[in-house]
Amino acid sequence: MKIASRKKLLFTNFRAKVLLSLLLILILSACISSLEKAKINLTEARLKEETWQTEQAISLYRAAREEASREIKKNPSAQAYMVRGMAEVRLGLWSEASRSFALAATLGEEKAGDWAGEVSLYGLAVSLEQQGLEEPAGRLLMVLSEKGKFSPVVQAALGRLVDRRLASLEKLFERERETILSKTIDLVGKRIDSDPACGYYHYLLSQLLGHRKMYLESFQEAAVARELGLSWPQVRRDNDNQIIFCYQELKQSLSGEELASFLQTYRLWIKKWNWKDEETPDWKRR
Amino acid sequence: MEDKILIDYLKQAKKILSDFFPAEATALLPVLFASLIWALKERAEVRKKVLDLKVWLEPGMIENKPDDFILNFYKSRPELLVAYEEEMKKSDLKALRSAFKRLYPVIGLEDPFLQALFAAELENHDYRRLTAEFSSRLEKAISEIRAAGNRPGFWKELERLCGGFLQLGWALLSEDEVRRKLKQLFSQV
Repeated sequence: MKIASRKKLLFTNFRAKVLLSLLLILILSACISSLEKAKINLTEARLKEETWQTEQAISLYRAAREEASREIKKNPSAQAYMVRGMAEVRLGLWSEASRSFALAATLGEEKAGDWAGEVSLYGLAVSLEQQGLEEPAGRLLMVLSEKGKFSPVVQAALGRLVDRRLASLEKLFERERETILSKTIDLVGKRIDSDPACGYYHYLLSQLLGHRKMYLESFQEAAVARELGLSWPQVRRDNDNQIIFCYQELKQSLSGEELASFLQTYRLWIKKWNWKDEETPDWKRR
Repeated sequence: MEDKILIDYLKQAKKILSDFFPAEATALLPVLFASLIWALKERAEVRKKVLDLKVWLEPGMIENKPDDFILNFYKSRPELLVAYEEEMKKSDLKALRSAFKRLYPVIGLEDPFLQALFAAELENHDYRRLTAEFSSRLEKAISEIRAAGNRPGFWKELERLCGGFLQLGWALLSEDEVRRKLKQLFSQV
């Protein structure tokens, strides 16, 4: 009886120890994994974005932000604030991102200070614009577009600046229009020189070249943008529509060898993109 | 897949969601249609997608398209050419551009929510009505969605319905086929 009860006690003790160990492992893994989880979510989100799965990317950015916030509550660190700031930038939460980067800088992350400054300037430009203060807003956007170092902010600022300039063309005479277009094309061109792998800059350039009726160049830039990837589905679809528009214009304006060469190139591209025909991208219905 | 299964499913989904919307709501079926398409296509977080509607529908670049792009948009779509024959003849770019801002997200970018919201106009080629009612109907739909979204259980139900929809085996069909099928069956629901 004694042996049996001792065995039972030993077994109960052993089971309790195993359960306790498992509980400890679970608690410890939960403690150390928030930052890791946030980093994994952030990396996966970027990969999803690159493969055009925007909605999934957004969900992952939100998850990354939540995990980083959880980590910050338990164990605030520069790295956790950086990860949260990155996720907030991708979600367009500019003021929250600026705060996260500023806190990361306080905790010793050197580049976070510059990023916080740029994010905060962009947020200010947007708010000035909303209050009707177009001039100072335009100046801030210009500075960020020309000198910004933090790519997500530069893209947002440049996109906004291009929109503003294109909107102003309607009221201008031909010569002034041409000057504005040239300057804007130069500005976007400079950005492409410093970051040639950003699909969005090529999309912007393609749109601007379309305004200048330079359809072959516009097509080429739109094709590059498509190859490099565009994050937002509506921008991606608009880019495809630009490709088709350029195709239709060039089919009418080119002739002879030039036309044959263009059509050959065009067909190679659409085959690669798996389009149904010259004017029907994969997402479009007949 | 049997139509009956899907019709029963859609009827059930409509019944569940109608508890969250006011009677005669314009947004109920478009929300259901778009959510099912989004769930199928991207397996996305439907809640975020529905809440982001306004951002999604107003990309800045649409405002600033060059005249040639706008003219090409009409010329390459015979049904629009008929509807806007007079403006095209007069080269009335002011009127054409104004209509383009409404038509491009629906017809050019093929947004599933807008296509469902204006399904009747698209079916009847009533593009003038679409452009005239675009803002008011969209605002009404968005406010209905916001109100429904604030009611407890709405998002959970919508996500559950999308999950149930995916389990019906749609992955084997193309998006085109699913859209066509849904459109056809939505009229019977």
